[in-house]
Amino acid sequence: MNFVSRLALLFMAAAAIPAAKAECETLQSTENQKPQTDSTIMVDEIQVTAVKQWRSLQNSPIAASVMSRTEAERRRIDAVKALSLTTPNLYIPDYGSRMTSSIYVRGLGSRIDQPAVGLNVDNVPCLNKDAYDVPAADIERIEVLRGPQGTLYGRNTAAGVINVYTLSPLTYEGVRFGAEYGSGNSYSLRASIYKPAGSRFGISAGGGYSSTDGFFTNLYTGKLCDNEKSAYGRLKLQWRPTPRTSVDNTFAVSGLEQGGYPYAYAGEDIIENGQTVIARGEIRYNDPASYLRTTVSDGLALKHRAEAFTLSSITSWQYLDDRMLLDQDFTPMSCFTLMQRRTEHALTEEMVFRSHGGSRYSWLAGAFGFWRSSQMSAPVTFLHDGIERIIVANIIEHTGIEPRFPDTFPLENRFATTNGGAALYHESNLELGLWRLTAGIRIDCEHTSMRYLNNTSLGCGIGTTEIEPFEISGRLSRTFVEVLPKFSLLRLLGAERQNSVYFSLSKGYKAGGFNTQIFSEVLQTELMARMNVYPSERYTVDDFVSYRPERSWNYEIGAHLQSPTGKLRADMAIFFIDCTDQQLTVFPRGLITGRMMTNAGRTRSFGAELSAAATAGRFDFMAAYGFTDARFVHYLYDESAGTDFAGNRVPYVPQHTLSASVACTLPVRSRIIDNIVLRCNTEGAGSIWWNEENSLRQPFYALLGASVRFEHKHYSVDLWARNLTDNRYGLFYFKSTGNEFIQYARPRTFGITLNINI
Amino acid sequence: MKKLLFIACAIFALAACEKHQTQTPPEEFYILTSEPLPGSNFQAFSDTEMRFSLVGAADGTNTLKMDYVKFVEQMPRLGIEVPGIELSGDKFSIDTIVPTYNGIPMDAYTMSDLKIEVDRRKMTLEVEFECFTMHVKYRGTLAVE
Repeated sequence: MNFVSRLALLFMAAAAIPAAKAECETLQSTENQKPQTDSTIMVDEIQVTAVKQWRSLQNSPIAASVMSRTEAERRRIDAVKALSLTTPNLYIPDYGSRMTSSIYVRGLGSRIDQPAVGLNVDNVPCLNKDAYDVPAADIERIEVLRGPQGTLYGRNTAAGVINVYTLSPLTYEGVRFGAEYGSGNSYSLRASIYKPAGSRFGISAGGGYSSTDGFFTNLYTGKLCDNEKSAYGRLKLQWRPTPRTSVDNTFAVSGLEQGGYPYAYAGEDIIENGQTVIARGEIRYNDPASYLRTTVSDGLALKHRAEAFTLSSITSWQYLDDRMLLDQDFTPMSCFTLMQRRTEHALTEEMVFRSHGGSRYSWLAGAFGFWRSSQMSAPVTFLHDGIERIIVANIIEHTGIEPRFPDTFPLENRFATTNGGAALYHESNLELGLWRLTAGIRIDCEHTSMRYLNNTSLGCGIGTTEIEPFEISGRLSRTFVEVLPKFSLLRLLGAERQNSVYFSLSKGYKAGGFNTQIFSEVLQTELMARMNVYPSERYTVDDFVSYRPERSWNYEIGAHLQSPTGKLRADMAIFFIDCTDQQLTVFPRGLITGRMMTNAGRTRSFGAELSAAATAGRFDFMAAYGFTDARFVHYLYDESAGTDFAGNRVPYVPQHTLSASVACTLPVRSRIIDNIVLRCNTEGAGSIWWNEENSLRQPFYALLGASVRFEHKHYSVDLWARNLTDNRYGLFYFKSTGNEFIQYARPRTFGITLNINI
Repeated sequence: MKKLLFIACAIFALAACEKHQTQTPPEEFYILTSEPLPGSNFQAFSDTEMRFSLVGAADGTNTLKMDYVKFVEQMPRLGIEVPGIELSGDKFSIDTIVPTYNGIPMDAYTMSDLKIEVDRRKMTLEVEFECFTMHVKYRGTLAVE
């Protein structure tokens, strides 16, 4: 067990020991003081923790879904990726490692580098997408805002924003304990304590540990390859020195040890010398693969309520340290391996001035700045089969002459990336009777630079030419300046003004940057050039490695409706997105590996979303449906061949998303059980096209789940099942050195979850 | 009369110097064209990306270096050389010669009727030969190493 796991267990023990000794304390949760209507979209209170909102999202010109604490517990939302499909058009496939947090909304998304969806935890922006997939515990509520949020949230929110708010020790008091066991020998333990000291100071501490043996076997080793162990800890301090001033500090740490990747070979059987090397459907690779990660963060939020406005300052420090070991060919052949190590520090500071509500005109203004520094080492080692099949075969094909290589050929890659930026933004809101006008603008400036040093460490030769080890080094830099406006018009409906319709227009922006994975290709190309064999097209490192920002305009009409009793609610929206230079993760052409971000010429997507919730007696119904038609308008993939994917669907974007559930609460009112909640749900997505050619796709799939929950005021026991029909479907498809692979989703799983809140 | 002649010479000299001072070096250019010979299955081809140069060798001869070169669309871009060029009055010709790739003779690229001409006043290099049933002509800025 590594240091971070031990630290997390220490946090858990620190929370559990006083819990064992303390008397039961009265739960003072605001949740218990509210009616027990509870749905994904049903939160009316203006949450004081949200620094950029005046009113409930229910009456805002935004397509938003809000999940309460109880709903998050019932759905077992323990990480951001568990939100997938819970709201229309939100798709977060769980594949690869926890470094992979691919989030798609309305046809925009990202697999590597810059995210398309921002994540904020307690108002602190998480800058690196690779740190999105950390345990999420003690959730107060989760907001998913769909559509560009660039004006208020800045860069890399072109598809939306997810806001996670955790419990506050000043509004929640008690001890929480959770334990879960399920299929795959998967178990988790967590504990936390929330303790106010008077009315002005509160402290909470919590931690957790989880483990799974995995579900997929690497046939080469005979062992499960997707095993995982993780731990986390969090310490939260809240202080109210005056009634108008608050100081919040949250320190969080997480650790992860993850096994390899369950990528199944999806091509025709590879047979050599009468022996099957790998067959279709098999997970079989010989070189080690794993992912280790440590994250540490601290967020300090200061808030002061002055006479005319509220000033908030949010400062954060974020640290990430990870190591990825990869068998890059994912076959029993020894082609090449990658070991990527990275250390990253980031600082953010945001100041928000917000006028108080209650007048016709309200405003918000802010300034944001960030700095991020990353050091990465990513050596790729060509092994015997990779040298013979890729490098040597390529040279012989061009020249008829066999080169001379050692048995292994390492390519060293080192990168130092620094980027920083600043932004100013403003939003004005004007209420004119039943109408609300909103206009906002943001100016976002960013500078990014990368120093690279890549080298071969062994010599090789061809004919009379001996090639000594060489290096390629240099520095790339870019400066981006972007203006992000938004405009919306909302009209309240109904006598109680509980309903609304709106139109909004907003701009989204995803920063540009540099590909690091493609530098092995740069080194190989230089090596070939030293052997006097050249690529068909000359390129400069700058042009080959860099990618441009992505910009989009989102046009949307929507409505928030609810019945007078509040027992029926519905949110709907239709949208159109025009995107230029959409960033796509592609696999470079030819027999090489790695991924790269490139820019498609232009894409457009349109669609519709509907989410509804209803309560009828003991029954709660919820449904969320999204439709997206995302296509290339112009994408010249291969200029020499004239290949343009215009009209094709954008890959990895599901055409439909669906989530529906019905829950029946049966009151028991005995000493040990208050209610029994029976819940049945379905969720699904598809069709999903796997490539720009649209030659492969995953058809629509639907999963069935069910649970029985025994509830008491202070505890609950859930018996649950997911994917009851054991539906087998693909989560991810890719190519490496010309071979195709698919990762399939987990099979049917069962489990039991215990929660204790005292 | 002598004075007039002197003044005329001075003016001429000044004009020549000024012309020399303001004369800009010729812009670099490189162009290769390939035309199919009778019976050839290849298409006409042209290129401006390659570079030909003459490099002096230790034995007093020259090596014709052809960098990033292809003679037909289907040919990969290679760096090949023709060693043993002995210029005679800035010209060279030979009926048949086998170029080398990293010191290895490339029989598949055998050139016939190779002609090389250097124009040191215009700083140009012209090369002409037949290869792969194509008639290849190159003209470009002379880069002598």
